[in-house]
Amino acid sequence: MPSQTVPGDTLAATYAVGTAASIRISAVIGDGQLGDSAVWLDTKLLTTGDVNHFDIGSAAQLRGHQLKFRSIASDLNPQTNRTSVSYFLAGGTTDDDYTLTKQVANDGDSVVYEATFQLV
Amino acid sequence: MKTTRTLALAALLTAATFTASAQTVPDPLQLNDIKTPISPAFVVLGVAPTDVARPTTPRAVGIALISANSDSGGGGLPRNLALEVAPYWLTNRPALTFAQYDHPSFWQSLQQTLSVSVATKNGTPANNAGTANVPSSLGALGIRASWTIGASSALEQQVLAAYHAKAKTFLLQPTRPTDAEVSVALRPFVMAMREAMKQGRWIVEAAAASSAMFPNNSLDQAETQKNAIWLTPSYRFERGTFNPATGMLTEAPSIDFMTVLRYSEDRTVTVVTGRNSIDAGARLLWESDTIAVSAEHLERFGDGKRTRRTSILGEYKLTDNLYLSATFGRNFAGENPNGNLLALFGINFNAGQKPSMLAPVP
Repeated sequence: MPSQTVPGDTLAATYAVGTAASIRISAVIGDGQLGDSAVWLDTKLLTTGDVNHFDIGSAAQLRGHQLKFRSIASDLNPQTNRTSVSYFLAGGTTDDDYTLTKQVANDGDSVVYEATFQLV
Repeated sequence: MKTTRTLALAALLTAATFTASAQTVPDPLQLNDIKTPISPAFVVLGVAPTDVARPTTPRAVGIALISANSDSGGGGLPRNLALEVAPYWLTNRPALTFAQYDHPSFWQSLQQTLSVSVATKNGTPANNAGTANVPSSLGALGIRASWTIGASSALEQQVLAAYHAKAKTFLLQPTRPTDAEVSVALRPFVMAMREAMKQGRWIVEAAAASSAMFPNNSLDQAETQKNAIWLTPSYRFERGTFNPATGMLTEAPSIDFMTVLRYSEDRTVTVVTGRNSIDAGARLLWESDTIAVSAEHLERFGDGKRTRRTSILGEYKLTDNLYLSATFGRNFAGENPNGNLLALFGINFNAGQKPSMLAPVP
């Protein structure tokens, strides 16, 4: 699936895990802004902070579960008020990535992003 | 009347830019926030209040208006108007991480700091006595970019760790926090981080500019006047102290040390041996939220001559969009036919705080 840019701070999508031995995820806070992410598999917290090629398990372990990201992007960059978070899922049937974008109203503001993926 | 017209134009440009940006800025702006950076185009026109300017973060669009006492003549163009554009920030950069932005490679740094400036100033042709009263305009084109060198300061690392700890408390909340509550809680840390990133590191800025005279305000009669290229290494001393509990950075007035090395070619000099010069100098700047004071000294070498400029510059913020500047001192010999006293007053407007691209209309 090609890259998708989604205006807004919330995303719900599905991800086909196929028969992968390993599914890896990343969350990239863009536009030079400051931020962090947390990732859950159903209700279990997997990781927090900088999520970069994080291995969440095999297709057999993941199918039927829900993967949830929550990210905070803060307007650190004085050159733009735009914030963005890109979520990458790799190793399944396809490598997918979604970029969510939202502009803050005031200098130094923050945006809370959430993305959930049904793993099928 | 001319002043009124010029001010009105500046006000219109300012209003237009703010309308386009459509953003609010709730925090009081500091003097450095509202100053449109001294663009290379201003420097080559000779209307910049200082010869040793600190490298600054380019905004997407900045407009400045400054009145120099050496100006004369009329004409249709607004006098002493500069426009500066940083093209990199006119589009989205979702792949640019904070780490890449804070510690850019040389090439990345050039991209994210590159800006192009244009400036205008009314004038009279210097080399043609027969057309001394011809209405003419001076135009200048400049370009600059900078490279930040050095590891993060201890202060920056301290602020960054505190930010991550605070952000984590919201990430792990059982229910999704609102943007507003996160913004209120994190803003002190974000603003502290902005300042901490500047402290304890070298920034090297390179710039080049060229100016031309347009007799009769005609492009066909353009004559190159000055060309210049310069390098400005600067360093801001680490002076802030951070409270991780509150996220507040206690800022002492900042102190910056700047140096400059510049080559200039001035084709308005009628004697060929006086056209080329090299300036080398330094500036020490003390700056609080509303007042900035600096002293600078430059030595000029070229074509067998040596002269110097020593000056003191003061700046005072009147409002969030307006500040005054004044420069006094001794100018380079031969810079002004009426003597070497340097006295320059300026009133500066700022527009285009940040590039805020409007969302596309559905």
